[in-house]
Amino acid sequence: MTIDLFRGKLTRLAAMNPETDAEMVTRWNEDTEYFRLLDSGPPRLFTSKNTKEWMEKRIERGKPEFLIRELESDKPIGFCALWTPPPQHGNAFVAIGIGERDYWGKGYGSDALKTLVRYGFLELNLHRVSLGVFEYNARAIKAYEKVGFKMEGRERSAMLRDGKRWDFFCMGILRSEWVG
Amino acid sequence: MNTQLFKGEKVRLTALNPDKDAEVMSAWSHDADFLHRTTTEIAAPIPPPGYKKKIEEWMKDMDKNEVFVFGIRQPGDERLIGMAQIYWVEWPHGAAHFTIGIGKPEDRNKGLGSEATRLLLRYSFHELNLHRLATFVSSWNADGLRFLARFGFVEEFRRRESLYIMGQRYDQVGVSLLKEEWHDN
Repeated sequence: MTIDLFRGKLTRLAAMNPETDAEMVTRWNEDTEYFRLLDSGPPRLFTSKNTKEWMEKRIERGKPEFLIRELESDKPIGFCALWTPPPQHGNAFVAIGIGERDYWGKGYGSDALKTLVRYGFLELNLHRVSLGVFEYNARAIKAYEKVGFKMEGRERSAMLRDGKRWDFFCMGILRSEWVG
Repeated sequence: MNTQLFKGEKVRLTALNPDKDAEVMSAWSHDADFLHRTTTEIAAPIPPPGYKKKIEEWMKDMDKNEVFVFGIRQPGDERLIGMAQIYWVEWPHGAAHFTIGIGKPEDRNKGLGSEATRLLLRYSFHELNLHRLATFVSSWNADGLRFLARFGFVEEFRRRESLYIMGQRYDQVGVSLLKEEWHDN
């Protein structure tokens, strides 16, 4: 019982503060390369005020997101969350994004995901954790496999982007497969 | 060109009535087996006002083209026998999900759900111009999987052990039909 649940090797999970973080999240979402790796909806432009209200609504509904901070500098670099609709099956879905491009491809996202999955298994007592990823996001797929997620199939040509059809990959990790 | 999108021989797709149909849907929600076949939500009986509110919300979402909900009835009979819904429509990708259910066990296995599904598929591909239509089935529901396979739905993923129902773990099976795989018959 001595592990720090919110602390990884490179990152830590922290509270998201609508007052101070909305401007940064707005800036991340304006980066369409980032947004199109994260979301299947069309990128839209929001003001910091819109983002702040959206973040406050999530907190009100009891579904806050974690802020990912780099351990060394404590700089916020991204966000992550576990969504559990509906809760009785012991399954949750991951949302994760590293908004600061300087931290891409260096293991920060994998480290935060490991911490998030550990939280899911040791605190939420989940049976499994699920995620979805776009076919064109090779870097994320590699990271998810590194953390222990297995490919479970694909929604065929579920996305149309830049004039091409892409599959939506489904991945999952069972508690019995998880190496804490 | 067959423009009768909502009329079949044995069934018709109709609008839902927030007052009358809420009573019927409330009655269905007392059948946990029906709920387990049609949703992964926690099974719970819902009183008529709960469904009235839901129907009114769906109507609002229909105005925004986010969801398309139909009551299934037989010709010349106002009794609601089932419900179908196209939801989670992603317009830029031409992708959507759907559910369909025939409420009472005695109305099943008579071809009513099959004909309603044929109408729903034609509506999806020839009116909404979707590229793909998907749905989820629990791995214990062999009837449901067979039903969908008859229309050409292809299994595309298995979310292993992601459902916990009546003390047992099951996979959530994802199936879909692409427009190019669909045959209007």
